[in-house]
Amino acid sequence: MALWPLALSGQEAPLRYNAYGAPGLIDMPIASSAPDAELAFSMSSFAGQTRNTVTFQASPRLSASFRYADLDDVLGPQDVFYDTILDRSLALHYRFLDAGPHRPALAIGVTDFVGTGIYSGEYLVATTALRPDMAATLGLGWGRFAGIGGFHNPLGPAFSERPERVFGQGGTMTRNAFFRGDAALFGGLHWQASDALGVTLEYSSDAYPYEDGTAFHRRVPINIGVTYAPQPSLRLSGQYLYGSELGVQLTYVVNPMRPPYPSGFDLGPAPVRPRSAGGQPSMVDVGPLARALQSEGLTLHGLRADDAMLAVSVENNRYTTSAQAVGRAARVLTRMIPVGVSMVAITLVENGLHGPPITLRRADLELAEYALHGSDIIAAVADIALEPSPPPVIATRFPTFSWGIGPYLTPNLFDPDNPLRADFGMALDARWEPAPGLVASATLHQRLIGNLADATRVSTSVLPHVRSDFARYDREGDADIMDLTLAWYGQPSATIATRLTAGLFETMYGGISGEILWRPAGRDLAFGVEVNQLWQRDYGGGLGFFEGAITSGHASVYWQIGQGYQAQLDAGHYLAGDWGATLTLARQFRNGWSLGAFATFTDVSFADFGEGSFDKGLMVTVPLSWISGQPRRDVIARTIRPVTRDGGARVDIDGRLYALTQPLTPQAVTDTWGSFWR
Amino acid sequence: MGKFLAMRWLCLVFMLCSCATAPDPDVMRAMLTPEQVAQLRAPMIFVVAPTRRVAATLVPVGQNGGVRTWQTRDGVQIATQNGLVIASRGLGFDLMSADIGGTSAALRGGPLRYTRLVTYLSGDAQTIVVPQTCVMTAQGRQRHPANGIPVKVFVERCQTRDSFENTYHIGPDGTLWWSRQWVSAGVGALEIERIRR
Repeated sequence: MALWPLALSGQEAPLRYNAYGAPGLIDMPIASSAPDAELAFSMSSFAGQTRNTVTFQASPRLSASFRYADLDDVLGPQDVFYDTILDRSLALHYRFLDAGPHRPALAIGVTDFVGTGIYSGEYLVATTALRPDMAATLGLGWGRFAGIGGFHNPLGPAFSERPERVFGQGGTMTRNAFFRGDAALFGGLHWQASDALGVTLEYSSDAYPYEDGTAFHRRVPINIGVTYAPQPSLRLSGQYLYGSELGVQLTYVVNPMRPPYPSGFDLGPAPVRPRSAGGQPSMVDVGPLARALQSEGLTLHGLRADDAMLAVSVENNRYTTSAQAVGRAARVLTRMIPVGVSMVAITLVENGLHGPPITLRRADLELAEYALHGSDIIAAVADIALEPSPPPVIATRFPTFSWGIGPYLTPNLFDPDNPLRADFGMALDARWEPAPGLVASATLHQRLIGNLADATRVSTSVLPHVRSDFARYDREGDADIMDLTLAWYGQPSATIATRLTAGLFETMYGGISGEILWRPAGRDLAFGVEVNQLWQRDYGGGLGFFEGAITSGHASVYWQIGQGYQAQLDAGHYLAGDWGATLTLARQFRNGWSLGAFATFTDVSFADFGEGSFDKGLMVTVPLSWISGQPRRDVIARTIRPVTRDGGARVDIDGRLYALTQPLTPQAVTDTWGSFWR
Repeated sequence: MGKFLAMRWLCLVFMLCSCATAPDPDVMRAMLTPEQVAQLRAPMIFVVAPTRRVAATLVPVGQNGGVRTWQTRDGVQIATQNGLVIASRGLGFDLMSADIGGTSAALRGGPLRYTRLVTYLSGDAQTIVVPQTCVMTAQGRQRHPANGIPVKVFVERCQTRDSFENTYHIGPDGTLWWSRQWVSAGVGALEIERIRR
């Protein structure tokens, strides 16, 4: 059963990830790429050198790795000895030429794009298949890859000097070092003996300049490794390294495009009831219609009945894709409205904001329900208007109150003293909607167990402590108001959405926030402005604030690049009073996954910022529906920062308009038509 | 209304069994005695998913043209056309749609070699169309164990990314009394028995 996603994609033997988490041999890289969108978690260790890497195949050609390494017994520059160095690095690997019948694949890579520079190295590498089960690799390396057998840089005299590495505060680009200094050759062979078993032999040009002699003794530049894949997503490797050490590696891969249950365990829909079958009421009865929609996870919001056309607006409480929500609503309507009505128009609603109505002929629904190309038929005949035309809100929709209790887990990764901290407890969520577009919500946490409060590190930031006192927030108070807000959403025109929120936005800030978004339907660009008047909450998690107001705000440009890639540029005033801009790049999958990275540069100097030099991080969103196969809209969303400092910091506010309106766009529906009949 | 309720109660009994203790499919089938079947007033099928060792009774919840939608008590559906499965819902690896015209014709004396098309949903909400190249062969006659009706046995071998074998037991009037039909690589085949026409 687990082989199903592989069977669908026709995937070949599992790719080997090297000890740095990149597609590779053992320590050296190869020119191959992982399957598109694959996410690999690898952990390798030998002689006190432990590397934990997350690698994302961001496009078919480009992969990015974030690495967190723990190096013991390192002799740094100027003969400074380190018992332990914790090193974060970002690597990029780009395959710029595909393998052909008479040419190898070629790739270029940088192993330490941002970081302390201990693993700094660059390469150009070629890989070719000698046989279907055997591949040979030859590479040219710089920096770390030019440790032995080095020769003059073939790129010319301008590249001959490589600056000395500085084990500094990190975060600064290691400028003028890329592809500089001596170069050397490396290479190796990989033999995939069976689907599960591979053998790798490599010649490593890494001299381990800081580890050799202190952490281990490098004797020969030859490594040999065996990789065993007990299941396609798991690879275990053992390797004998440099003639002196045994190493182990574990790699686990997951691919957002290959969920464990591609069609989900969504219960069967209420089937289409053809008009010829009869049984539909002679008049639209709002109560039963609302109940029928509710049993499909949809809340009836508004309704307008004309002679031949019935327009409804619904809130999607269950489905990841907008097209599935529309499809479920359409089927319910065929059962619950008079046979004389020949057209239905369905509008999706989020927090009172409306998407465009999607108009379908009843005859097409009857025809396409079980047609082979049923989704394509619907895609061809559905009419998506450019402008919302909200049906009048039904009387029974407002006010409503809902609440829930569930467990929560708040991890804090990469604390220098303990890279794995977390709190666990119970969360209470409540939501009250007194009128269309008005949403009051609250989240309370009661901590039960955890070690976030053990963090004793005191902020030494020279900036206002707008974020770096997070440990004090974790420490004080077991019961916290996580958020408590009243928000008012408006749609003054077809292309404009507005939000006004007041209350406690997050654990550290409260105040008033206003946002306006201009997002024309069917366009790739959107523009927004947000202005906030904020007060910093005190550490206790209650209703108290510290003195002094902060004004922050941003102007934002959002760009749908295509194929799910998104870019966002926010420029404005940050919490510590700094001015600057944040660039965010993300890849969003139609099934709800999203993986992205961001970096913020402000007028705070790298020195004033402190460790890390500037604010940056990764953003991961995993839909629970993807994991469990059960239809639901909640997600696990995490922003992972290597270090949390005060420069480039922003407030977190729920209900920001761009993400909120995303499922309402025509594209959200047209991209997912395949799930209309799911 | 009365017959509908009675049927629902019967289903409820079986489905509770399948949910709570997941008894052996054979045990569940044995509980559907001829006496109970005689009391049924509406069509019913009994479906076993051998790869998951679960079974359930399904009753019609929809009819659109020649396609009937059947549903278990807990909301899993299959859709059939002349007894041939053209869709499933709620199994995790569902058959989204199928053109089984070739199978249907071959069972009625048409060409014995044909191509079927089926669609699945990718993990990214896209439709995947998969062709299946099939050969139908008649395999003689036997009697349907539950009611003694003589049935013709047909075996359909299909090649696709996965190769599989479907079996059909067809009564004199064309009723498909028993079949084993491939759904997807994730679900495998379903064994479908017609309990009441």
